[in-house]
Amino acid sequence: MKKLTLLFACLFTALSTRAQGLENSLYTNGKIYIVVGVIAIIFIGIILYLIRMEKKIKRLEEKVNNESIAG
Amino acid sequence: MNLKKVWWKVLAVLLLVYVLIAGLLTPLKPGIERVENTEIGVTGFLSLKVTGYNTSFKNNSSDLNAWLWNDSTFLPAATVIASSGNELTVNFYIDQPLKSRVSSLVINAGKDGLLVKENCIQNTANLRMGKDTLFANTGFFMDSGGDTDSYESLESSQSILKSTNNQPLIIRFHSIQLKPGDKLFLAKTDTARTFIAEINDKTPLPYTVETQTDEVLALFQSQSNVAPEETNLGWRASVSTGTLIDYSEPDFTATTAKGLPNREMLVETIRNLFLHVPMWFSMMILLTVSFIYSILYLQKNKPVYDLIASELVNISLLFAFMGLATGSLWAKFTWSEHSPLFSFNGWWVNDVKLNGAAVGTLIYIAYRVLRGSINEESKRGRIAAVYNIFAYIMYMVFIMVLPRMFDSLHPGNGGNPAFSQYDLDNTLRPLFYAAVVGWTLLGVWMFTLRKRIKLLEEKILE
Repeated sequence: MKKLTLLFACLFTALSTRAQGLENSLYTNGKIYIVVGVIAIIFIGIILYLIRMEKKIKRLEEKVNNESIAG
Repeated sequence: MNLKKVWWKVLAVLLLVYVLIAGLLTPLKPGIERVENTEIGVTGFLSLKVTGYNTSFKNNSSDLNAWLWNDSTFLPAATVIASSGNELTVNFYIDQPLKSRVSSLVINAGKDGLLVKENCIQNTANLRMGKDTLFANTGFFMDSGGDTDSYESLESSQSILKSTNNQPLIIRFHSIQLKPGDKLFLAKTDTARTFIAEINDKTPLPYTVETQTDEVLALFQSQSNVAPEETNLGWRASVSTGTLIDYSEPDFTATTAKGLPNREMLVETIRNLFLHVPMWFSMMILLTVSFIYSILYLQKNKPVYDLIASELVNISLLFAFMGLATGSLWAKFTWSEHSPLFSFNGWWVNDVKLNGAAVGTLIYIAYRVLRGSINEESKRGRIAAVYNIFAYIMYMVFIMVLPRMFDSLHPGNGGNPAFSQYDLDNTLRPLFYAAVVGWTLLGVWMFTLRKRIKLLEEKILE
């Protein structure tokens, strides 16, 4: 998790230093890049949801495995 | 894999794939991206540089027609020249002062349909008072030759032109109604007419006359050597009965171009209608189901109903967060330049609908916190169900009722009960509903996964 946070922090700083250029380019080509951005946000949302679900399943698996070892 | 059981999952995927492909590949209708050189004085030439979007001006150049739309009159363009598919030069000659300070541009672009750029032309005449002062009732310009203060500013109702500081009076004729052979007369008094000039083939327009008189009552134009008798009227009549310029309403019958609507400010981002809006619609559908299960739990007291209600709220929260984030990005690059309500560097609008959505989302986060904090199962179920019923009603008030009672930037608000015909036209409608159904089914799918995990967890814990 720490690594993930670090990765996002790096990405964010990289983006914010280039923010002005990024903002300007988002206005070009009829603002189509905003649609790209929106799709990316939805994609990220679904991925985060998957990650959370995986964690839950992992916890379950650990429980089942521990019980089977104990049993 | 049993197709009878998974058909709705297949449907969800098919619908979302259709929405993504068709929603991204359908081109936008042609439109006007921007218009340059839009400042005009009282009268004179106006040469507009038009940049189109998705247009094919060059291919339609024989069908091109343009009008300047001011108040209720349509002034046809003198020339319309297409230099490329997206570039167009429209020239107007304005011989009469325009009624309204702002004008719109209307282009009949043949196959591209009728293109309108509203209120894009500004009349700056009043800002330049003194340099080119118009005397509306006489219909001519006075030019001071650079010295802007050498003339008294005359009311348009007065017909006396006066030169101060004993300088010669220079009169400029911008009117295209002057024909070769026209003779121009000045009137110093009611009866005395002075011949000043004759127009010939080589006379360029605008035509400038310099007189030694320092006071002029009126100007006359005549084909004969004798000046018209009546004061002013001779000149006025010749101005208003122009032959070149036709002020009658033009024929706007144009073909309708195919594609998604090309709206000002939005342009390509209109495609977000298939991405941002279904998030909220699906969220509301899932929350409604959750609300029903909470009521059912209170009636029947089955623990699984509480679990379903809680997991539906979970997946709704994911949709709400995605809705908030996508809306924020969309608004930043479309509304933020046009609204004083923006805060946080343009990433948030201080708007009833948006604040309502954010507060509503917080209410449901509180639901999760509340439900997670109670350990005893039946107590947890009952408190969570009661809270969920209140939360649902509060949320609906925040995002459905309150925004309609106030002015809001957001479409479907500020008195409008639903999408207007402009918000959702026939090209958008099928894609939008497909997206809502697709995202709702996907949400249900994600919810069933969570529910199954929870049920398994309970079984293992036992």
